[in-house]
Amino acid sequence: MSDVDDEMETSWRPFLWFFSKDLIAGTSGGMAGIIAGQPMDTIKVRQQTAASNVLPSSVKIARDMLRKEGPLSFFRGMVAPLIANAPINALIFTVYGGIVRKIEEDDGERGIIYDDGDVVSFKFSNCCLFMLLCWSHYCAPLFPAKRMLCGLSFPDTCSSHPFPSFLFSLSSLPPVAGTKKSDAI
Amino acid sequence: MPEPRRATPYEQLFAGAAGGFAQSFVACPSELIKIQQQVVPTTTVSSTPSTTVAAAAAADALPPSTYDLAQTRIKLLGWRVGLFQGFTATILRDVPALGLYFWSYGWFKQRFERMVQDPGVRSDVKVRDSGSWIVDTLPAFMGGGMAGVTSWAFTMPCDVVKSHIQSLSLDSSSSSEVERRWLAVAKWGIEKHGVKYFFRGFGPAVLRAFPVSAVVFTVYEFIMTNLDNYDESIGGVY
Repeated sequence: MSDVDDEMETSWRPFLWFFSKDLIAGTSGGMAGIIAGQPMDTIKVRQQTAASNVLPSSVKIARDMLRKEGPLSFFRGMVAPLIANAPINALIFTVYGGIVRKIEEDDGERGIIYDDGDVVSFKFSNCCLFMLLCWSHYCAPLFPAKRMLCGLSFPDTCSSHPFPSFLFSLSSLPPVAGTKKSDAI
Repeated sequence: MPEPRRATPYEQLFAGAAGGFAQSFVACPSELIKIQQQVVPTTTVSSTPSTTVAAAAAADALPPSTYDLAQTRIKLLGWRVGLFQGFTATILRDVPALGLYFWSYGWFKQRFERMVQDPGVRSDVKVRDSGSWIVDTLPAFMGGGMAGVTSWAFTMPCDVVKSHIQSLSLDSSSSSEVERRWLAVAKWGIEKHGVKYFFRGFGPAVLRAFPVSAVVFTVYEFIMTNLDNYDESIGGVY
């Protein structure tokens, strides 16, 4: 029985710890960042969503908020990002950290060795770059410049996009030809 | 055993983009609630969102709590619109933003390390705990700050559109389904405000980016180093 326990210990604990380290460090860093940046973030969002054509300056926004809504208003809306911070970091640093470590461990030994000694390696990093290329091609209809090119060269095929709409809800993309102009909001 | 090498900045770009995609599933609801609480609590203009915060301000009541806001939105709009308003815009922002973030972090950190390290130290091999904070902490701080500035400067247009969509309220008549689409919002912005629409809030965003990202990466690297040192002190992986 102790043998089984030992085996569990040696196989699972490093694996869990591998991810927890990223999570602990990432979450602490993220929380410090959110608290440090919230006042400026509030000013940023207010500038971005201002309706007038002439933007109020950061100083004016800050002064008005301080006078009308009190100093705590700078930190309004901080709870949601703080709560989401742990799961976000779990995702970022396990996906990012996991991929980076995989790349770092990869010494390129896997691959096909041909008779003449040539090696075509399946390096993880190369596969990643290939996937990135594929992704950018797949997303081509998303980007305005590429949409234009795409529409010019394949007017028939480009009107529909290849995305699973439940994921991206890109049914919002109007067809390239005969785009209906949307009214002002 | 091969000596551990560092991922190159380009490899970090991919890893960061993948991380950005993953994070947007959680970041979207949290940013949505955050923005709904942040926007101006007055109903002076028709096109800016009057939110539940605004309604509360009009009624002279307390602004809604995070939980209340989330619950109301889910009840009224369902989880798809209630929590994931502006999801496409979030993905469009986060995938390039995080790719750029980690890529430039690697790039800048390497440059700063070369400045402070003794010549001859290989930059592609992991070194840690040299004993001097200038070598251990400063590159992460400066690199993180510069990475934040770079990533924010380039993804500003996406962020403006995302903020705008997410600030649209559930009670204003303007937020019909058509107008929550990112392309429609971007077009509307360009028509109404010109190209400078895409750089709204550029100043505060970039100003904020430096200290925030510097702190994030410094704390991250500091804790990571200490956890790694702890591993070594007990002789192997915890």
